[in-house]
Amino acid sequence: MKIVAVAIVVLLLILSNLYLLRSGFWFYKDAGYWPKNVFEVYLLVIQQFQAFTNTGYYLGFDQGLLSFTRILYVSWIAVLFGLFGYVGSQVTYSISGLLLVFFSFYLFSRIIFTDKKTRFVLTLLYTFNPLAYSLQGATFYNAAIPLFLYSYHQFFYTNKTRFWFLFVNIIAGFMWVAYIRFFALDMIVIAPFIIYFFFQYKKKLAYKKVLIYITSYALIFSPMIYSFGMQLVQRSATAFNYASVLGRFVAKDYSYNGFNIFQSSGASLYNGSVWSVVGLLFFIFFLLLYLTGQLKEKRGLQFLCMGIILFAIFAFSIGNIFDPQIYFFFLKLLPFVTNAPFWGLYILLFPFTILLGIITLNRQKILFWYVGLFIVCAVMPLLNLRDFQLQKYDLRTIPQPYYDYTIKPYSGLPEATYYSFGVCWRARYMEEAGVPTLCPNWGLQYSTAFLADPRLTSGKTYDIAKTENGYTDTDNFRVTHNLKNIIIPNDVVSPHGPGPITSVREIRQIEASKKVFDVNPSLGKLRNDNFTHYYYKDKDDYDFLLYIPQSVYYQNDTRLLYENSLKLADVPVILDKETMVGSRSAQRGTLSYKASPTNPTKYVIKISDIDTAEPLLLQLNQTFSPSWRVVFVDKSQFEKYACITMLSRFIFTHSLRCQYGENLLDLGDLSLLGKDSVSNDQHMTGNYVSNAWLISPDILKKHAVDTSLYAVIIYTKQIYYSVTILISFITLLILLVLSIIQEAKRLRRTSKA
Amino acid sequence: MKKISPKLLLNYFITWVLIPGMLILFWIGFSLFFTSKYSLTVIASPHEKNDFSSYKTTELLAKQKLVASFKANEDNLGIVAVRFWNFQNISDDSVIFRIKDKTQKNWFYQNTYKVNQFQPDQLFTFGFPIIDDSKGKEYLFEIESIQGKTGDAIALSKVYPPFVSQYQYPKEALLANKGQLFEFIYKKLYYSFSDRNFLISSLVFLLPLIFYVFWCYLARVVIGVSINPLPRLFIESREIISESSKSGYILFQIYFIILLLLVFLFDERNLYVSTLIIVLWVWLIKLCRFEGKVSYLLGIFFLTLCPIFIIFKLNDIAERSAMWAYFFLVVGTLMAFLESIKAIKPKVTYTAFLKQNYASLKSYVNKGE
Repeated sequence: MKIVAVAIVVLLLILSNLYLLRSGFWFYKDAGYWPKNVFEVYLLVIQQFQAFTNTGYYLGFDQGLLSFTRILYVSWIAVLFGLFGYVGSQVTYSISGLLLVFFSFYLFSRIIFTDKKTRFVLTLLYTFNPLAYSLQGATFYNAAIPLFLYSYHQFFYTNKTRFWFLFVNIIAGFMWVAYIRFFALDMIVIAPFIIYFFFQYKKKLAYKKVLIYITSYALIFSPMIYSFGMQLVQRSATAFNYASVLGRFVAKDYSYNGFNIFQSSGASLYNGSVWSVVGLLFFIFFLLLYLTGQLKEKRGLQFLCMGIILFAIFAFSIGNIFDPQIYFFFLKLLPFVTNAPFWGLYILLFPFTILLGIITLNRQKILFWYVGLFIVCAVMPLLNLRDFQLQKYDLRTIPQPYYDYTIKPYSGLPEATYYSFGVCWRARYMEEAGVPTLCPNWGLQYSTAFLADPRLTSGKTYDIAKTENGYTDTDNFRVTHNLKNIIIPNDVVSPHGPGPITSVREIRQIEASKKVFDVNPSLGKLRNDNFTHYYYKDKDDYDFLLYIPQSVYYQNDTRLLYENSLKLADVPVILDKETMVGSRSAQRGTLSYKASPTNPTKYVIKISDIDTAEPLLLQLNQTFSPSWRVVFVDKSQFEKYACITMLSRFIFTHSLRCQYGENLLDLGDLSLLGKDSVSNDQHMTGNYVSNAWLISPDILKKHAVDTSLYAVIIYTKQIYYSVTILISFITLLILLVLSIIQEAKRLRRTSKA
Repeated sequence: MKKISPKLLLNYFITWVLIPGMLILFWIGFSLFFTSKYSLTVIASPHEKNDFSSYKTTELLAKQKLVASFKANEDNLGIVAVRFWNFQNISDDSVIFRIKDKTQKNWFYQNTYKVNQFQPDQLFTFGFPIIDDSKGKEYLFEIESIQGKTGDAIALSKVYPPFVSQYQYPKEALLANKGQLFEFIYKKLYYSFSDRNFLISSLVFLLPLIFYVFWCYLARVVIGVSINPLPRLFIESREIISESSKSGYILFQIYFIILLLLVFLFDERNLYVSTLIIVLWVWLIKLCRFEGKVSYLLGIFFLTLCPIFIIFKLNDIAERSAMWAYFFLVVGTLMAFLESIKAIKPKVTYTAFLKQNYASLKSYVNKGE
């Protein structure tokens, strides 16, 4: 029997990953975010350690809600990538995810069901189904609920305090928070089950266990708690970006699809009315089993599961049932549950499987047939290797320009680049290869200048990014966004399947834009078959990332952005009208600074030749936040950061720049917190979206050494964030050691007995 | 002659005048105020998609126009309401609405509207100065997109009617002229009952009265008085009713027929209609003491209709069927919960419900023969 069971699992694992087992890179929709080389893995990992990141973009953003949440799965990707490369890691990641789901549910099912056959069959249903195949192989999300509940149950409702279960629970907790949508979705299942356990066992939770549990969570999850908490404290609009993005439209789908358990997202393999009918028939049969069952056993659990199922269906249909006002009310409460209909079904899977097990307790044959038929139907679309969505591509054959611009590792500071029609387009080579559209996920050397993802940013940063699309008067962006390049596709074709929207009209617009850029005297041009790369001829002579403005423009609206009016030689900055720093021209000093391409949270600066009798303006073209501070240091601190590249000189901005080495989680930054800094009332928005500081003569006199001033511009939140990460790692390590010791002792006792 | 006591008189008054009167008022009031989408002094006339010179339900891109003409049925034309679909997106586009007498060269009225106000599949009203003598004249209107682009545009909805012309009658004039008032009432009723959705929702609002009449008969004893509401003339049909109504199934059957009408023919959302249907089902459960599984049975029935309608591409009917299926499943679950904690003690199991309904239907057929 055991051999048959193992054979079934292995066979299903192979069948459901058949398309991935072929050679090539799978990049349908979000699958394209998979790293393509070690450098991208490295970027992915270090992103988890940054409170403020700009990986893939020129402007950075505060990760807030997303900080540190993906550390577990990113680490796993890194391990698999190191072992199997980019193709093998996709396959092993998917298979390991399914195995984890399988074991998690099988373990959990022990709490409810005693019969091993029933547990095995239900586990197959929970593991091999349309929802598990969604999200481009990121199947491990489905393990979060059973693993969390199982370990929670074992930790609290067994007599001894076993640290191993707490450790597993925390790992499951990391899986739970790894994807922001699931954080809300899983809560709707986990919370009621925890309450159910509480009443089921009618037993008081041990005070000691509760204390250990809460303390461990508080310490290990402290990076996330701190990062998001700070956003709330600072009343950052970015904290609620997801809710505002999702609140832009009413999600509607036919309500009957709420009952359809054959659905998928990402790779949409179960679309169309045939699958709706099949999914509904399975649900109707499930209801018939419920209707005709005796339902005497586990009544509480039945109501709990049915309640959650009905809630999931309600969440799916809410856009259809109610007026938009009511819809938006629910959306505010549960943004991820009510918005895209599909997500509601992730809530349904777990209670559905359990309830099916309960209502077929005395009808095992029916359960076997039901699950068998269900799995056959679910696996079927995955076996259609001709499906457009499942096609893979050999990245080694990608046209050279695409490799150079979007895949080739680049260790320098990125250059702000304007992708006139977005970074993502369907190129001819994709069409010829018959593969889905690949969107580059990393900016590498040519990072997109604008942060146009409404999930990551808000306010003017997003508004500007949204409206720049298709503009041709881009010269002023050189000052405000340090713009150096413009890239326009030459090989765009109409879309095939879901992907970027490039209609005939837009393709025509692309040609019109090129004509304008062609006659712009400031621009040089590099052309290849795939795209035209325009660059500002004097791009090596200016660096507006960090500079000392020489002239000030006052304007509140963003009209000035869409002109070619600003002169680089004026070294201008645009300030709000209300700011009125008093002088239209500031003093001229020479700025030398050190920056790191992998750490956008810290810049070490030296300003020479300053006149301490005049105020000094300093502009950092990085997304504004009150967390940015200019902290005064001494010369030794400046010199501590050794340059690992040649100094670049920029004549327009009178500045010098070099790169310093990696110093991730530098606890030495803690010493900066006690030092003098430019006060908050002298910190304002400059160039609409970035940071400007006005340093008064008093301050200059106090901190200048001769005619030089040394400072570190730091995202202060990062300092505390680094500390919380260390606390998290140390606590997790202690917990692991305790678990190992305790389990070893336990094993020894058991073997002696 | 037997003397009727004041108490009995009062009972007769309550039973036969007050309660029915209130239910009739409920019917008229809800039909007029909570069914009609239009103001009381407005007459609305639906138009066909053929009235568009180029009917299309794809995205309205920049500079593209929707053009339609129609003949005004009445005087006082003041609104043209057009049904849009917004692709579930909040578009940044704006549209220009223009209208004119077809025989005139110049536009009578034009204005710009942000399309983010358009609700999916709902009529958006374009108002303009009332045209007093519009009856019989042909009007042409066009809607032009200013900056619609692929993925950021609106379109005409596929839901009927694509547009409606509305005629606003001045309240003062109607009150001043009784003849005009009666004519207006006639027209209002005529146009309202020409609307299928109005008819069905009005029928739903009539249900409490229908239920009351049947219930009076079924209950026999209402507020302590023995009454016989049905004349001897209909004794045969009364027998049918009383036979099947021992368990109140006639009420369920009426209810079920109305529900089927809602599923098949009612293509609007009306919170009051839905609420009344829900309330009546809860009342029926209480009256007949159905167990929770009876609601489940109905839920499964309506859910089973869905695949059938999907196969025949009647997705909107499947949609409505699914919504009612959901409602019955929720009620069934709540009932089952209450039963499990012994808060209610149902009498009629779902199998008994099926059997008795079958017997009741069979008796109709036999009587019919």
